[in-house]
Amino acid sequence: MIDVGATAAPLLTGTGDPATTFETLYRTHARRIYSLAYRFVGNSADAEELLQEIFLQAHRRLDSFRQEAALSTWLHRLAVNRCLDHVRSRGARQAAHTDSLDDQAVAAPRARVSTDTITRLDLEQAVAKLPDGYRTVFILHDVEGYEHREIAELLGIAVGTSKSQVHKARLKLRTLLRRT
Amino acid sequence: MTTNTQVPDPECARYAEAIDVLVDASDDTANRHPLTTLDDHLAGCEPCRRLLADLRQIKSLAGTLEPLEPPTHVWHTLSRRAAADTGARGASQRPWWQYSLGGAIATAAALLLAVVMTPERWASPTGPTTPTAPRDATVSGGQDVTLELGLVERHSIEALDDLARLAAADQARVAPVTVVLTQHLAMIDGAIADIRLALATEPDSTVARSRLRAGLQHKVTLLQATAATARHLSQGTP
Repeated sequence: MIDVGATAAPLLTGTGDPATTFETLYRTHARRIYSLAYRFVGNSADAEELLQEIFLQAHRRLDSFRQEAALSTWLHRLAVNRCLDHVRSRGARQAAHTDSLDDQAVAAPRARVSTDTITRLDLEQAVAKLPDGYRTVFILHDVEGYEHREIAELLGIAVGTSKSQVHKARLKLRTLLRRT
Repeated sequence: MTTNTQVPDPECARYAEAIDVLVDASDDTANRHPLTTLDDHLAGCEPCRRLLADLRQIKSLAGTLEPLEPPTHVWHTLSRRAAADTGARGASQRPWWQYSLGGAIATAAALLLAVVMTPERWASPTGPTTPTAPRDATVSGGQDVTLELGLVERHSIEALDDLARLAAADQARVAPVTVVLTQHLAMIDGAIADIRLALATEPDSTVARSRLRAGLQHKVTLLQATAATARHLSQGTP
């Protein structure tokens, strides 16, 4: 996690030009938030729109930001929640898709993967192909480093469900990477 | 990549969860799965060893994914939307300066006068004269904003220099004036900065231009009033 850093100082003290402060906030955190959004939605157009919405939301709520949490944590949580809203709004069609993939995922122990050749790009592409449910938990746990209990809280699911979903997501990724 | 499409061995399926726990256990060995036969199974099952290795690599690689750079146009669009959003919030959530810049200045001036105008000063036959903004600071409607800012900055610097000299000459009496002035100038400067931001987004906004002019004039007036008051205090020192 990025620490509070210099960008928080003008916000907390009320000093500095608001426009400059907002731009500094964006320049400092945009890459991380954009990466998060892109990996959640799997395409640049939606990720760009999400990035703007997240920062607009932050812009509106900066007044309410208090130093209980690091600014980066506050902003990241805001971003995760917005991304989750976006994914949820896609509807339930992915849920059915996810269920149908369970059998393939369980079969994966027999899949033969030469993972020596896996690159980050391969993984990025494979993650983009994951069903929303798998992708969400995988990004939160393996990419962003959230604990299962945090994911459970964010998604309103049991800790065990989070663990199970991450496991299935990894198995599915393994299958997808095998095909590339 | 090589594939193996064999039907999963039911024996291997038993260890699927344990293998996954092992993937995450690399970070915390205390979380190792209690299934003690796992090691034995792994020793004799190449597919499961491969599975463990693959899942570990996937997890490891996931933690090193590079941040992605958003396109530059996103910031341009976002900054415009943020400025517009600030304006749209207008009536319900406008910051104080958008309601009544003049009122704030009046409050500042009143506070300033309350601090500096003691009863004996009111009785003084040589009380402070009512200051007026300099003629060239009263800008016309079509005048360029940059020129307006230049004029104000020049007068501000002159007034501040004046205050600094007076404060140096009679620190005890003038220092409280400068403290109050500094506080309120910060408020006014913040307001002016916000208006300038709005003007950058909507350069043709007559409302914003009008507010900027008013803000600048109030700033000069306040500075001059303060300087005149401080001068009066300094001259009245026995």
